[in-house]
Amino acid sequence: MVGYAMRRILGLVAVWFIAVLLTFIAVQFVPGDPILALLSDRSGDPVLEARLRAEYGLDRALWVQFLDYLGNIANGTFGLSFRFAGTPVIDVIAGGLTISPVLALVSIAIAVPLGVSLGVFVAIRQNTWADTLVILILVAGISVPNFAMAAFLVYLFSIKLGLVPVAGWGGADQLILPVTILVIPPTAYIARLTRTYMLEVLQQDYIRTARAKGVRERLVIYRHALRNTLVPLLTTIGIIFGGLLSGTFVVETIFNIPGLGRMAIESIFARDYPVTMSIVLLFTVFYSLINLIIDLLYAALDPRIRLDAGES
Amino acid sequence: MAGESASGPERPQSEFIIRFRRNRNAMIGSIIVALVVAAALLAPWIVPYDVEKVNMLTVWEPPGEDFWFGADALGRDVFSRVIVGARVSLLVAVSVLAITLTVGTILGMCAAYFGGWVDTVIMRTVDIIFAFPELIFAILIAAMLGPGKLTVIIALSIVWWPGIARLTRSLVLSLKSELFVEAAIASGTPVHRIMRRHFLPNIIAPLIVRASIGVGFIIMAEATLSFLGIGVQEPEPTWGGMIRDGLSQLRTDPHLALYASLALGITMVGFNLLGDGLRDILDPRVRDR
Amino acid sequence: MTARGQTNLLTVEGVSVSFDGLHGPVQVLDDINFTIGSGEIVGIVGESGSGKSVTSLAVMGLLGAQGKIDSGRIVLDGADLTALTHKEMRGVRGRDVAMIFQEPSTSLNPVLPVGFQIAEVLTEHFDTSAAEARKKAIALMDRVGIPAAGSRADDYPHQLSGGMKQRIMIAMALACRSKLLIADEPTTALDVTIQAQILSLISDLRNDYGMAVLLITHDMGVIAEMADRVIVMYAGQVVEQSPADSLFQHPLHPYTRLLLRSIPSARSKQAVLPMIEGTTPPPTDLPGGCRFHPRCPIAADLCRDGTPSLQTVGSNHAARCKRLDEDYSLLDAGLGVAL
Repeated sequence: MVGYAMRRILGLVAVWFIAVLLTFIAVQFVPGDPILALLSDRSGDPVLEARLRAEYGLDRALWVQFLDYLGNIANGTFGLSFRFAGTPVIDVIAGGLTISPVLALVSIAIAVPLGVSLGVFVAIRQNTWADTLVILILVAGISVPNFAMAAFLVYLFSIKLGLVPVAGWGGADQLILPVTILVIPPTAYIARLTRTYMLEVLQQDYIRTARAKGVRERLVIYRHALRNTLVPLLTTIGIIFGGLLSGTFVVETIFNIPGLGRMAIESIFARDYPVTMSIVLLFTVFYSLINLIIDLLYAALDPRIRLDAGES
Repeated sequence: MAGESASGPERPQSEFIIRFRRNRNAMIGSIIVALVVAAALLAPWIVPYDVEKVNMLTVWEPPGEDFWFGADALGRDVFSRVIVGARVSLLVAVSVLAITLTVGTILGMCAAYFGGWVDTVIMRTVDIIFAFPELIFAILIAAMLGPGKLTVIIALSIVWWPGIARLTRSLVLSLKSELFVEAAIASGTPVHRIMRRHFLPNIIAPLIVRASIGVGFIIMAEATLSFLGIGVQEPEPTWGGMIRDGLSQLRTDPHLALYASLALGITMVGFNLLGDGLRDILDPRVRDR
Repeated sequence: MTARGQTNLLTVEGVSVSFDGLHGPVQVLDDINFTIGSGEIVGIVGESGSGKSVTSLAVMGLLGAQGKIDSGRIVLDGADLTALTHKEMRGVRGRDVAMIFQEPSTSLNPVLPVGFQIAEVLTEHFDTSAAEARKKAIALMDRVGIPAAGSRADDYPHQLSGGMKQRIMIAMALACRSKLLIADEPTTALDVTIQAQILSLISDLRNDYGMAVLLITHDMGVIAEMADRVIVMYAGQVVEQSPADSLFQHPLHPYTRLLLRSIPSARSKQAVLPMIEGTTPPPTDLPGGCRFHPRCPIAADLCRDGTPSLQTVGSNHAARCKRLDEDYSLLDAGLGVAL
């Protein structure tokens, strides 16, 4: 178990290094000279230009620039912003640093229990009208992209009914629509997967054994069947989390939420590549950490995995 | 190639049609998809207006007799733009599928067939790409190449081929130990021939399932990138871009966002129903990515 | 009839069962009657599709949503199980009747420790604390011959061998000292040596606790070794019923005779002798007349029309065959020619 965790963490460091390398290369590829853009109307000033170039380290050899980049990541400044001259990237993004991860975590914390219960609810009502109806709703929930869903929900609940604010950040009521929109697709996805897995598990011999032992039906479902569906379900949580992180870009843009997702998009338009790349990096690190936790949980939840990992 | 497979697939094909007809999801999905594809193909002949022609007299015209779905901020017909939007979405989807199916199957087959360092290089690359959330990767590429249709196609191809490669590899690995493949290898059949004659026909069904599920994902991803402004650019109509423009105007002129959302939503439901149905019919083993 | 079976523990009386099919209900059990005395081992033998497993599931009340008992009664220790509610039936399962299955590997829950799976029977049926139940579970594991039971209780099923898993299943069945154990092909999935161990364990438990056993198998060899009485089933009907010694000495029904010929003899144990030609008809497509006639080597015209009834021969031997009155030697000759 410990050996397995160590190997996974080593793999993680490799992924981070590649992410750092990729973002560094990406900035080199970016069209246009950022210093000239920064100078804009004072572009004729060679002294200022040289000073800025030196400040941003752009006058150095490429490999030195890469080492600088690594150093800036290590000291937590993430380099300097192109848009806000001389400002460390960390100061630009500090205000929104926790918003996207928190939104994603809150959404998954709602989506998993909700999706699983919904999935169990329909699984034990297989082929009833409730089953058919819920499945239809689930397909729609999975299929309709969150921004299209946002168009309908904002129109209905904010504009027509005036129940919740159209956009903004800070108040609890302003959270309702964004979180709802983030929660619906993963909930529907989890519910449908849970249903499929439950129907499969309920056919298994050990469920028949549990019933033959006279175990109460509630425990047959939740102790014997659901536990076995959680193992495969857990492996998909990583994908779901990736979708949620992408979802924060969209939802933050729609509802004017000052999180990292919106900042990443804004900084692309502002050609502030250090900010964009830092955010890409942070999201990748966050995503890989979540996946690591899931893998470790997976090993802890399935006794069969635990043994295999210990052997190899 | 045609001669040797002609005798085989006949029965499974008719069985496929029977099972397809019985599958409610697949039927509803295929009807929706057929309508979307027809709209996309016939767009130049059925749209009533030029989708890029700006008309200041009809700015934010509400839906009515002249403009069924109303007009947008530049006075362009929303109905026409929704129809042509299907064309753009499907064009991106087909391009990405063509690229990823080709690259993914070839690399997947090579990884499985040759093993060793070829396998290691290909599968490590796959692992690295899987380590990024797909939209993050797409944003990285959009920032590098600048927004645009080509950027979207490249970005989505990069994030989508690893899934195909991984699936192909696992399918071919299980095929490799089959007697007829071993016999072919032992008798010195050239590699490309083994791949074309023995691997490809046997992995095609799960690949079709994966592709049909992939279309929905690709359309959704393209729409998301266009919605964020880093995908297909104006004046070309895209559903994502239209929803973006329409959302800011939702209070006064909701028609743009709502009709575009409806078109995108129904299309997505159609492709997902079809994908699910095909999965049930063709390959119950392949589940999710 | 025997020394053990003075009182009837289980009485299955005129039970018919049907399942929902695509085109309406399909009858899979037709008028099943038998009894089990306390402490008695009764074997049900037949090929797959004969209805022997459905019979056991009907007794357990585990036919599922698709299956239904259309008529008849199942009386256990004076109580009619078919009249019980789902909730009452749950209380009977595992406590009064226990069951073990063919595949010990898939019959245990992979994500729960085996000790817990045994203890659960106790906590579900009695007001037993978890700690107390665990202690009893370990004692039960010890009783069924699992070495180092105390430490193995925390093992998961995949850490145990097939034979050990079947012992765990038996420990579960033993937990509430059930009066009746239903064993559905308990040794089919196991190695020959393990088979013998499991069978002797089952027979020990019968001797020690007076537990009656309903042993379901397709293997006449297992029946010969274990059963006091035998029920032979074919296509959803009982075709022969008798004390074991009587059945093996004077088998009446042609089907039973053919089954007996398929027992590998002690000398040629390696050979799986050819079973009876043809297959059991599906319940949707039963032949008219005697259900066995299309495969019967001595079928005559009279076998094609009219279902034969179960006729008693002597005091406690019954068979469902229209040609029973005929001379036994003729029947033997017919079978001899066919084989």
